[in-house]
Amino acid sequence: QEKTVSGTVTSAADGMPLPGVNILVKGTSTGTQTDFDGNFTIDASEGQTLVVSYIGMKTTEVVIGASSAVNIQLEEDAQALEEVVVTALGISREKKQLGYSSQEVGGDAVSTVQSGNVANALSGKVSGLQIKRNNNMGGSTNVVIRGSNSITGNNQALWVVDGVPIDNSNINDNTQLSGGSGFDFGNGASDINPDDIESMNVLKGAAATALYGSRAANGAIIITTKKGKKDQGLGVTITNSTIIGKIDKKTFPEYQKEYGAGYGPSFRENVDFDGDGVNDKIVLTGHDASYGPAFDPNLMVYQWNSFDPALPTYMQKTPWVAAKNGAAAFFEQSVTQTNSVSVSGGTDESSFRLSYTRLDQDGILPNSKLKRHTINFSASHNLSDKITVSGAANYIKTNVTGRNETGYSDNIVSAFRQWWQTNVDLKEQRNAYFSTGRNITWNTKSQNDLVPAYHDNPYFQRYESYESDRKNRFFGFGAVNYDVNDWFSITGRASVDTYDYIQEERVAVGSNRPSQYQRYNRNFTELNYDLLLNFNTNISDRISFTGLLGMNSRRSYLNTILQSTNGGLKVPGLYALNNSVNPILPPTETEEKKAVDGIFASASFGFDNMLFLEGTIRRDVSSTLPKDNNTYYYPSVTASYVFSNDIEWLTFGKLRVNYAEVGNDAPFASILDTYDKDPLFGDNATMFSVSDEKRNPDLKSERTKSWEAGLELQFFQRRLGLDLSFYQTNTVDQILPVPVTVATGYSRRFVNSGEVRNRGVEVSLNATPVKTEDFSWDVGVNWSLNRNKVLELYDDIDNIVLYSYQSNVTYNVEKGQPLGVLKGTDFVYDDQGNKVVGEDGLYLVNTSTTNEIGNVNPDWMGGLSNTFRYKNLALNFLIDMQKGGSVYSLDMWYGTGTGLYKETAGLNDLGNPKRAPLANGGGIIHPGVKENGEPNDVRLDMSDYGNLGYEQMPNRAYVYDASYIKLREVSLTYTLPKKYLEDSFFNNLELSLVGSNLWIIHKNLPYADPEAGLSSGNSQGFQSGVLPTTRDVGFNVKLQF
Amino acid sequence: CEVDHLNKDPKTTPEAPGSTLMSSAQRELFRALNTPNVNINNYRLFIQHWTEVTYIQEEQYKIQRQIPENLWEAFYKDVIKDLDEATKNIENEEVLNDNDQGIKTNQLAIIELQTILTYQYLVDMFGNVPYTESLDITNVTPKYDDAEAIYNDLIERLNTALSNLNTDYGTGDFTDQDLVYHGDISKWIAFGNALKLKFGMTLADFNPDLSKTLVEEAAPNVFVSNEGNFAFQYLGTLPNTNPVWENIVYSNRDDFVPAKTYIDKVNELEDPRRTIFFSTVNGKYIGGINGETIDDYNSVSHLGQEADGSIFRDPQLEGLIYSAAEVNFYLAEAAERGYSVGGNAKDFYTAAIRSNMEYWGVSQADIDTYLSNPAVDYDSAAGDYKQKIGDQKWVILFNRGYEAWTEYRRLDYPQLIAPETAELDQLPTRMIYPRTEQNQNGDNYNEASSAIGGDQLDTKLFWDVN
Repeated sequence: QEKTVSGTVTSAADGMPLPGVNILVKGTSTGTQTDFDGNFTIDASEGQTLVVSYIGMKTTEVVIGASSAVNIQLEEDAQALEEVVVTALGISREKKQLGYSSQEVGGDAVSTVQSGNVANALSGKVSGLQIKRNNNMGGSTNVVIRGSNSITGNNQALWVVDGVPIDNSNINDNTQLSGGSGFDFGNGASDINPDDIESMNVLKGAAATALYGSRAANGAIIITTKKGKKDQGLGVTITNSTIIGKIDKKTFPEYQKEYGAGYGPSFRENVDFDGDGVNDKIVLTGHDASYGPAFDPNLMVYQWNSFDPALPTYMQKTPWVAAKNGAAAFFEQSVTQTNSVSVSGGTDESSFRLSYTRLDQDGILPNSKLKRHTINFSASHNLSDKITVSGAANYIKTNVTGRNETGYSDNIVSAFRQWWQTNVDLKEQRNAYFSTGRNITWNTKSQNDLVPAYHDNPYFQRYESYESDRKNRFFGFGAVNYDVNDWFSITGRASVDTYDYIQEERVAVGSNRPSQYQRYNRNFTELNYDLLLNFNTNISDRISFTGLLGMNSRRSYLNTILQSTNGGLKVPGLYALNNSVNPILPPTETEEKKAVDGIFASASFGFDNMLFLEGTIRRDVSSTLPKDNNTYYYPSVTASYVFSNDIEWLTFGKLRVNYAEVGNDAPFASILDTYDKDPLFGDNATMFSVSDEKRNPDLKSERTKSWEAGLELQFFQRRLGLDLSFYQTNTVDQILPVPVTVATGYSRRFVNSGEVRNRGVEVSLNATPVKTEDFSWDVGVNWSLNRNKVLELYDDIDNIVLYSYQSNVTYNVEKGQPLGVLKGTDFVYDDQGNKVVGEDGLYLVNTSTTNEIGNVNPDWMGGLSNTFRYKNLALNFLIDMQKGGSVYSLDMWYGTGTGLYKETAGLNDLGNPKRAPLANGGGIIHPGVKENGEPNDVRLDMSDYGNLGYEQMPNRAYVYDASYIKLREVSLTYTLPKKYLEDSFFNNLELSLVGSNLWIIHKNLPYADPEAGLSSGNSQGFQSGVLPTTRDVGFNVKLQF
Repeated sequence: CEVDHLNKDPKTTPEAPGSTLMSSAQRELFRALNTPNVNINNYRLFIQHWTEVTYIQEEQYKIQRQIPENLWEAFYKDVIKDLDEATKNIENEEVLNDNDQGIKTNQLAIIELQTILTYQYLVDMFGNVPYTESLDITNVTPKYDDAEAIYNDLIERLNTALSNLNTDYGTGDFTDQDLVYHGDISKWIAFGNALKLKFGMTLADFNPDLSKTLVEEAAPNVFVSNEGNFAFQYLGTLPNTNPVWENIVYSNRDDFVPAKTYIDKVNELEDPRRTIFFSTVNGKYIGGINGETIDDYNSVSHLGQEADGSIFRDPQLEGLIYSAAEVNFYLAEAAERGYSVGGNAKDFYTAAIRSNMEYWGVSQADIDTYLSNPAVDYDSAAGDYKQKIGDQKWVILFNRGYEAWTEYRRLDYPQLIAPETAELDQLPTRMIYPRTEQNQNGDNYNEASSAIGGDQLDTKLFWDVN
């Protein structure tokens, strides 16, 4: 009969206990894992066999005898390194056999330090994976593997959860992406709940993803969620994580403290405001700059807070001083709370897991919050010993209120960074709004015209003109697996990802902008049907074979509708279409259907467990290509050779090499020309216009060709390991909506053209320098370098302007250059490379816009993680770094022009105030040479605005090196020793202190985080009004019983 | 299985009547020329009719954003391309009888006139521009044609279009779709001739012989009263409102006020249009100084009367591209140049001012008073004919920044001085090419830039010889 068996698993080599060893009762699904001390308990009957397996160890079988105590020693097994990973299409494979690079990340690594977006947690943890997060609440994260391949298209990795491809669209509009006004609505992958993740496998190259086909041409992140198992106890896990964030002052402007509002050093002095017969000094509230009069605490002036009768300071003069509570006071503490509960269990035939997770996030801006509820259910059941059915369902409900505006206009933070008055006290602005509910702004048109000139009271804007969005999402699958015999099985799977989404934007009556209500509804569904025939057999003693035949049928459907009020809102506070001042215009609708049918095969042979060869081929038929050209094939071949079998000093060694091609189809509706329909003009005139885009009926599939070679080495019983990859990827015949001169009558033309090459090196190192019974130290290093180059564009075109940002800086794709060259105006240099200054003391500016002023691609990226374990205490920290890459700061371009920053004031080389008149020894001397070659000695007047920033400097002056070194994550985890829990209800209790972005150790960009940007996607290297970065600290509790 | 049928966009259409494309082109043409949006049209600031309040870069001639890009996009893509497509679609329409053919010929000629007009704008703003190789998507690096050559070709096309217009036939669905003349063929003929007059007068200094021929051919057939104006009736609701209203009222922003240069001039002339155009400050008309920020918006006059929402504050204010006043001024100038245009300079000059004042609703008594002002009266007004006409033309072209700027470049009157803080020490004489051209069509851009004497704001156009 069944009894409880307990024991310890240790390593035969050094007697150390082995944590995380899998123990399974043979022939059942009953299993468990050893704890940190190598201990386990399992229910089994006498005579049953325990199968004990662990990575790098020989799998051992132990028959249960009469005793209830079983101690097991495992022997190292370098040859049969049976690390199993999940690859394309959800197929589990022994890692040893794979001829391509992949890198795993455990679930803990992405759920310990929560940020609300699973992608953020990958930063620095995988070589070749570039993660660029911005600080937008619920915002998008740019995830690019091995550099950008596509010139205009999507370069993001594919996300797959338990075989379900997840829609990861960035739906931010082009205005937002080009730095105009808008919101960052995030990308779809952020809906994935980190608490449900068991493990992630990053497939980097085309060979790894060839079976997925086109959609994974940029690599794939394969997520396996936690599954139920037959646990002891109730199988309940409860976690809580609370994280508090405060802004890192190094990522927010430091204002000069000597001068206040104005575009010049004067007050309005021709008005007797208080009627005492003497003209007063009135602050020029309409001026959104700080080039005004010098502060003087003895000078009493009328400011914005003197004009509105509702304010306690009405008609009062106040001293002319810098604000006590500057713009930084606007930011609140962010609080992110994650609570989850999961129940899992199983029998011999079945297992299930049910979890609920709730995320509550309060952003750093007033009135910003994000709530996400996730319910995950997965189960599997053996109908017979041959047939297993399984399925998973995820429901995610996300409610967001008050995302931050991004980009140039309508963005409060761009005001703080570009257009601000250093005398404005945020607490007073706060009181002004909360005590009246009105838009009492610092930026009134004048003392007697109190409406906003250009900027609202920031609190009014946050609380009255906020956006909100809600998403209901479901994804999941159902699958049947039929083991026909011991070498042949059939898997059928249907999966779905579907959501409905609404975004609502509001501009309140009384704002500086016209009032408006706008709603956008989006419905998306993708269905995938897979049928897989798996073959797994040994052809002879020496030759093993794994084969696959399969088909995939994909159908997606997208439907959107955008509608807004026209001419403003009639009744304040009513955000409904029927509150439009003028009759509303017809909405903008889109409807897109897409189908791709694929069939594929793969065959893999193993020789002597030493040499592995694999080939795959896939054929796709896509609805988005012209009928005659819509079928395309692509192959991959890989080889790996385990050469360590006869080498004493080497624990494991493998060489791998592969070549793969992946085809890709066109975006929806790229073939047929159509007209845009505009609303009627008046009652009668119908309006059509030619589309901006010239489509192309002759498109064919584009193609990514890649080769890769790699080396894996493990020494000293895996205490030191190295994984090295070299790759080159060429993407050719790209389907480009290539921007063309509008003299052609179009803005873009669809063509098959262009070639981009990415080549690079990736290194992963792991080491365990110290390992004793009580103490261990693990080090992990990830380092990667990628170089990309545009080899071909189109026709005579050798440059494409992909994004045009405010101030005429452009993001370019130029033949012979890396993808993502920034261009704009530059200094004029002499032969020695000195900047040339003109007679007036201003830099000469090369106004051509073809000057290269930056390259957004980093030179290299790296991550360094250290884990120290002492008994039950584990300390982990991760340092994440990027070298090189450029970022252009529109904030500095404008903010220096308007005199906000420290650099625009203070003392000059003579020890006089820079802003003093030249006659009084003020002014600055720009470093550089005069046109005659002599060092510049012309003093430039700084007493008035107009000589710095956007007024006179080239764009080049505000391009910065985006390098950074960050202490990205720290966690200290304490696991309560088992002995304290023996008599309790609990099985496990873990407590962690966690921190993220605690310290930006190094950066070159002033006043902002070099990582911060507008959004995910190809529009990178540009900052305007980005939020400051927060330092996050918190604690986690995990309870199992 | 068959999947390709999924790729049709169900929310757009592959077919559209040519007339509907023309309507769209007309709307875009008027929008581009009427809007005061600083991202596209800053000519009111160049010519010192308007001035900016806080952000003054444009009146300092700093072209910092996508301004020329937006002009090209409007003219090439939103106007000329749609007219080109309209032409193709109308040409493809089936013709059953002579009447159909007559309608079709008229429709095509009407579209052609507007295409010619738009190309003239491009040339007069930029100089050499893509022309013979434009609108061909298979050639994405079109060469720039010589400005004079484009003019010559446009004139030839204009003569052909004029000879094709035939009052014996109607204009079909243009009655509804033509948002300017509503298919009135005789108005199009008068406009076509006025356009020819404009070509002729623009060439007056450069090629007097051709100028004389064109003007004398056109003069008998032009429109001379406001009924013939090339104008566009805006509607009360977005997006078909007058862009001036959108930018100075609907936007809630106080970016623009009348310029001191202009206000001082109309104050000096005691111009009755002031009461229609401007508000007062303590009973006075005060303008803002170009190139300087205005600290107090209320210390200067505003555009239109805020209280009654009149003129510039009316979303339905008519958009104007070519008015009878301009035709009369051209004729006055032609008379002075010795062309035979059926009248004398003074009469045309007086008719020009009168028609403009009538257009704005000035009373006959006030018009008479104004015309009798010795500084206005043609016989006693200061200077030669270029100054007399130039000064008054600049006055009547208020809110018509582009035309005012072009006539200033041509006549060199009134003698305006660039703001002290401006990038140039004189007014711009052309608009710079879109900077995207440097990157997208670099070789042709470079060739054109050197051909015209440099891609600069102060490069002079070929006809700007004096």
